[in-house]
Amino acid sequence: MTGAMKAMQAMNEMTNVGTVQMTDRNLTPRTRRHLAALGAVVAVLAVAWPVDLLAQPGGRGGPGGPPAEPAGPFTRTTDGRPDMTGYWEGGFFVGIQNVETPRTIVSPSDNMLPYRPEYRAETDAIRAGNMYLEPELHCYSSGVPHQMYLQFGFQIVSNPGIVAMAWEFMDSYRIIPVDGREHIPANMKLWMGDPIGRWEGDTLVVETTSQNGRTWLDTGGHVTTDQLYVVERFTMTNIDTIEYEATLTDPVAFTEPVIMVETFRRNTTPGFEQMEFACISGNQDRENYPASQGGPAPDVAPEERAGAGFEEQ
Amino acid sequence: MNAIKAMKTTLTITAIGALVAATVLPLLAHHAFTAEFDATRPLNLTGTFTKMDWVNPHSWIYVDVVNADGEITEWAFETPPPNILYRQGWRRDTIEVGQQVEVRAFAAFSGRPRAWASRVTRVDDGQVMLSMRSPAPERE
Amino acid sequence: MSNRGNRVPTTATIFAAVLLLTTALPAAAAQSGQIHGQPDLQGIWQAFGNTASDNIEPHIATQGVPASVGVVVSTEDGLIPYRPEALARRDENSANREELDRVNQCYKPGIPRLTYMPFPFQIVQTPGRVMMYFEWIHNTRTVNLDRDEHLEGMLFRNGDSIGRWDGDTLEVTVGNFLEDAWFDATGNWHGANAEIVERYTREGPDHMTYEVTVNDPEVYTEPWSMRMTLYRRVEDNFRLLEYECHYYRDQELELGIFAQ
Repeated sequence: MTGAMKAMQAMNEMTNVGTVQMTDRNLTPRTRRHLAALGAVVAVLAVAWPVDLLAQPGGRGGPGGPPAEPAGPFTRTTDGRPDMTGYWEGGFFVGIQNVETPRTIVSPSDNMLPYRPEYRAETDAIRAGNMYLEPELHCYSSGVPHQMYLQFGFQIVSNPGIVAMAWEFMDSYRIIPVDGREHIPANMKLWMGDPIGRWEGDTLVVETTSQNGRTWLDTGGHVTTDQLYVVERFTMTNIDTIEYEATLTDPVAFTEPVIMVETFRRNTTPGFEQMEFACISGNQDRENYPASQGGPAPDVAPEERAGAGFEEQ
Repeated sequence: MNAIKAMKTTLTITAIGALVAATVLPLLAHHAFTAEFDATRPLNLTGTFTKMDWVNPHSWIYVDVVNADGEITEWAFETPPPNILYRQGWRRDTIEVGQQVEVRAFAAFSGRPRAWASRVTRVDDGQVMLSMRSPAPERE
Repeated sequence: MSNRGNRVPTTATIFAAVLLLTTALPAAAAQSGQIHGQPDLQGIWQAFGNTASDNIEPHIATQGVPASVGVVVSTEDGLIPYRPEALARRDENSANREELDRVNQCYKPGIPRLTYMPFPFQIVQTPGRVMMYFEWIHNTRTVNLDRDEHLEGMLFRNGDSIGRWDGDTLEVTVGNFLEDAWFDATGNWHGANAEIVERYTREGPDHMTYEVTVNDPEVYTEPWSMRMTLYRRVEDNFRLLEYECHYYRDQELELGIFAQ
């Protein structure tokens, strides 16, 4: 068998895995679990949100997720934590072009972002005619949680005191200290925010503050503000699976918190490694965006375009 | 590359199609595809392959296409990034300079000879080199 | 543990600090010397004071650039052994640096330049990879310990990095460069076909020797090498932040989005 054929067979298998995942998703008790947890979440939030969560970003675990699944077989780091080191794939379920899907947003129950009217209007206006604002079009970073479901997957290195994540897409990374330190001063705003982790049993809980509000939650214009505060929970359920849940609070843009979920599967491709992704030097798309989407290029009628006369028959 | 050449067209379509089923949507995610390219009007262009830029965030295939009036237009077709092409088995000589290729593509609204390639076929042996799910307008 | 304020540390805070250092901080653990059975290079590192990112050759000060005896150690005069035409090109690079320097365009700077730019970078190790994360436009390097040949036909701005352990030294062979690249803002350069070998040797808890050998017969009369010290950032609560060069540049050129 040739290398190319092997690669393709592997890809076929990957597709099959994707199918299984989808079925799993429909059958798992996860949704029910989330619904059950939601009652507790709402109860907490009724009292605490938004003031308390924002006032103590370093001191709380957010609304608290469901208890971890019984631990399947996975290895542990030398300090006894689940060893997530390796390459992972995500993004199969998250609507990367539009997060407002039932597979992604499990709360609110209508699977929609609970935008206040002005932020819904801003998102609608972007989607209708200003997609030039898309950060990734300009090779800007994606922010959290968008970063977690980028294409091509990501690498995790979990060592004592630190969890580092690296993406092939735009060579971006998140370095999450798990050593009890404090967040950076609140006036500092970063594209990727300031993540700090801690372990709750076998679940890695990451609180991210200081995002700059310029990133979107997907490639489809769903805006955030610099008040976005994200609590993520990474729970290994077996050696090849991490269940991911992110709780987003943004009292400026949202009327209530948002809970998003995703499953990361280990990339078991033999010899897999990430390659350089030099976005800035090679980007040729933005100069081609038409004015109707806020870009610098003209909008040309189909019959006036270079391809006129070559339409598919 | 020889491996790809040796395979039958149908297999390639199936196999690469399967790959694409797993990755086509993420591949579009560097930017919103439908904001730049007209997903409603697929084109079929045949011409001479002149060069390829193996760059991120997207690779580009350059093809000289002869128009109805006999003039040559250099088209640039946006394709997956080098990492994805490499893992699919592409190498720098997968398409050789001077070979005829047929490209199914979606042209830019800007009117320039730039388009997003959804399928690339070598004309001389009918080999499908790249096959991606056709773009659909974004879900509203 | 608070890292702010100027209060006098109490016995309790000192005890807490010691406890934290001995149990949690990976940099402290590095002093024990090993991680995943490899020499431990983990920590946040930075080159200081050698001005190599301005000019790796000996130079007197100019406005904004301190003087330095340079970092080239294999030649007696500290100069790079250029072939004459390559030296001429260096001078041309230097004269047109504003326009030609990839760093001014916010492109990936190549290796070794990325290592000693005036920004910190962090090393994190796995059994098969040494990862390097750079504050400068979140460049990420994967040093692959699992293979000994470069990827066929894949060219990168920062090259393709293959590592191996030579005793306590991490030796990284870098090749497959996309194009000619500069060592510094003065336009000292190597060709795309250069083979570059880096050697990282930890000398203690807080410093590391960084040596680079450059072999490119088309450009130099002989292989040559540079050497400098990388220092560990030991400040409390130190972490990588962001330097998003392309965003700032877009703002200047009014190409991008979002006013500052």
